[in-house]
Amino acid sequence: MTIDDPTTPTQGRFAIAVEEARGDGSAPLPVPQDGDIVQRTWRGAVAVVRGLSGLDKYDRYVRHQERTHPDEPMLSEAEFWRCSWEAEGNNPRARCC
Amino acid sequence: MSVTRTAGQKLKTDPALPPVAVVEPISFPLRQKILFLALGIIGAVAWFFIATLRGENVSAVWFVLAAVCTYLVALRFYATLIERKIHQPDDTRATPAEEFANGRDFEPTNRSVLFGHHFAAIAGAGPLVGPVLATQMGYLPGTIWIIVGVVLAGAVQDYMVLHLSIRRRGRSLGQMAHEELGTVGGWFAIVGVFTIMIILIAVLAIVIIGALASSPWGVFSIAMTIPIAFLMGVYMRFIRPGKVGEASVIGIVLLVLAIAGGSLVNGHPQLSKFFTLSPVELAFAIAIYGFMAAILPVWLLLAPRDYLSTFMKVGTIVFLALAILIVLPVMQMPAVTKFALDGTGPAFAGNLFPFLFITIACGALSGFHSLIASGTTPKMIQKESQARLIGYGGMLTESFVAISALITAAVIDQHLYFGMNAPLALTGGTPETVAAYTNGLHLVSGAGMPLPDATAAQFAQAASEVGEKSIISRTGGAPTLAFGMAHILSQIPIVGAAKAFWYHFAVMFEALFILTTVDAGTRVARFMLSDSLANIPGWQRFRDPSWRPGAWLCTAIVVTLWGSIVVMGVTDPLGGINMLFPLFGIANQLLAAIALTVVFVVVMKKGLFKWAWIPGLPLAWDLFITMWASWQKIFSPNPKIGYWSLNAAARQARAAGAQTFQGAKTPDQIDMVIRNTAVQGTLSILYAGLVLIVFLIGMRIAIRAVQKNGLPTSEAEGMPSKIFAPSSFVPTRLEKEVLAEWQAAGIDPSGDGRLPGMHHTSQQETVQEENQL
Repeated sequence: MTIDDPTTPTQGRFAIAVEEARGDGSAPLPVPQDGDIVQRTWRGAVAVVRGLSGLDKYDRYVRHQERTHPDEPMLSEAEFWRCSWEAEGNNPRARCC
Repeated sequence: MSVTRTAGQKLKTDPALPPVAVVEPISFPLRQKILFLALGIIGAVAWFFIATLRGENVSAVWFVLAAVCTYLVALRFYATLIERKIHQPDDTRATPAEEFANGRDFEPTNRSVLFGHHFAAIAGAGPLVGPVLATQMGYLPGTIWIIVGVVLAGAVQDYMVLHLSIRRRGRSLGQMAHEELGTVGGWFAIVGVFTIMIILIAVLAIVIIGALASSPWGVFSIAMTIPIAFLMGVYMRFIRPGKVGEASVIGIVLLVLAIAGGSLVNGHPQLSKFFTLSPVELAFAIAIYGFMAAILPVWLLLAPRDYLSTFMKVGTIVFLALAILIVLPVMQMPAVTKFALDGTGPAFAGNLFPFLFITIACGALSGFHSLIASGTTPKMIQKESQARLIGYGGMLTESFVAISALITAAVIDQHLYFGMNAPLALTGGTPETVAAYTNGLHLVSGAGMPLPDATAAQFAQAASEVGEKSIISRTGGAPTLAFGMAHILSQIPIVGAAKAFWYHFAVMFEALFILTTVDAGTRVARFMLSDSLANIPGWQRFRDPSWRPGAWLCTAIVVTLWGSIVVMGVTDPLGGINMLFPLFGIANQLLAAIALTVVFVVVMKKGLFKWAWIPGLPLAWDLFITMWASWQKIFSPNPKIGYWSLNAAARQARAAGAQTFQGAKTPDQIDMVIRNTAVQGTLSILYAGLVLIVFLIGMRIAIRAVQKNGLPTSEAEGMPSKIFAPSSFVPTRLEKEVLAEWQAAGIDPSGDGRLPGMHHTSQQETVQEENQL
């Protein structure tokens, strides 16, 4: 099976393996998640609002730092925001009209 | 073969990881067929009613339906055509966000969050103000251009620029122009971007001055945002360091109190006098503010105010859309007014062709978006295939904002609309003179019947209802939008009781993000200027952002440039907004021409000649209509339209010793007209010239591409992706299957934490390149 479907000639330039979709409903069942649908929706909504307003920036920084540079000292929340405002001051982003 | 094909394929880039991309089967299931058939029919019916209903009771519901159905059909079919035939996104390839992930500006971000970010960055005052002014020609021309324009031009530009930048390490439009059009083309593009930013900041400042002049309530509540931002900044830095969420809540509460408190200031004899500022005083206040905001540390003013403005922006836009759906107001403006045909409209002069198309810039096609779609959003997108939703879909959302603004303006009583939007020289400024003026316009209803005459008392009452001394000649679009919003909201029980509060809430909402654009724009322009100056031998020091004298000097130059246009605009005897708004629209549309030229050249270089019409069509239309408008602004013999013929007429009047000239009441004011028109005329020539050069350079490269059957582009090499995310809000069946595989393997598909910091070297390169432009 080749991956050069005539409609999407460049899809999969970096693919090393192609699997056919099962498409018959035999996909692995999702692992049950914590909480019911209401709780999960609420958590999702909170995550979107926090992401949109940038309130989760520090949490994301901590996760990133823990996994990629565990040996380096972690900035405190106050230090992190100080650096991030500093960077914003030197790399302003345009807002639209 | 056919069985497996219809179910699609899953692509892997790493044997140890679940698939990172899917190839969706090309299929059109029956359920979708029925859905889109229904959308098509509803949309067609709505369009039919908009186009043919001519009565007293044309409801806003048809506009909402026509817009939403057209958007969904376009997103499903036209955007998908662009995706398949031109972009061919490859989800096995890492986006810049993944490749250069650094936990800061480069970071794969959830698609819903990114959609919100992208929308908040592209939506501003532009899509609100332009449609309000264009309503003077009736609701029909504006509605058609906003909806058709976004589908074929605006969303195409945003989507294509976004894809281009994703394939080029998230580079900015200026950098891409440099690489695709060569050094000369690149430099002209950068000068174009810089000058366009200056006029943009200036016109937005004039718009907000129009809403704040002689309005103690408005000035008080806007002024209060500065101490509120300071307080939030100090809170986040010293009192409870890093507690951004708490500070935002405090800020929003204080903001609402500041709007409500404006009512007390308005009623207080001394305080209201203190906060009553003239347009010139406000112009200087905004210039000083812009300078301070650009040199003060970000944490003190810019960052806290940014949080406030994001909440206000998204919240108010959603609120307005809901209010329109609840109230379903009825249009007061006819479908087409006589001003569309004779070009004598008071809000801006000129005929429908070409001036409607530069007045409604943002909302249908906005060149400024190409600066957001390149540079910012590509550094956060997870998958190439998400660009359709974010780029094309984000612009459709902005177009919906423009439709909401148009509805809001079109439901205002016509006498009030024209009384608010005609310059002072026409209305005379008192309720009696303005009533005489609008009665003299011989306005007709939607059914073509003459409207009953307005009385002076109507204008006085309309002003007192929204807590203002006067609503006459409050030009610029912002006050009209606020007035229309208050009018719509006042029809909702309970909520609507506070009409004056909602008027000032809307003014505050516009002022907040205009001020954000002003100081962010000043900062961006300052950096562009200092980086350019640093290229002069011996002046390298300008590149160092911490070198204070350099930063202050560049900021001062930038503020002086836009500040002098603001002062020019507010003192203009002929009404600054109708002299300068066309220039703003022309600048924005010409920036779109630069962006579309870059996109078109890349499509040609890739040898996709058969599909080059997709960017070629909006490029040709945009260039044609904007050059036509520029031509008229430069060469028209009608002094109401042509800057230079007005200049000549004013010179003649001055030479003949005239004491007055049109709106100019003294010889000094005539001199002012002469000076202002010369500046405006020169800017028109400058913009048109810059863009024509960029366009011609682009066409030469395109012709060479045809001769050589394609040319190499500056697309980056790329690397395999190791993350997975659905391409749209709702995952497809196949995407769900892949997500389940990631879940079963116990790995977070979004790559949270898995993304290596090993690309830091290449990221440094990118950052450095960026600093050079």
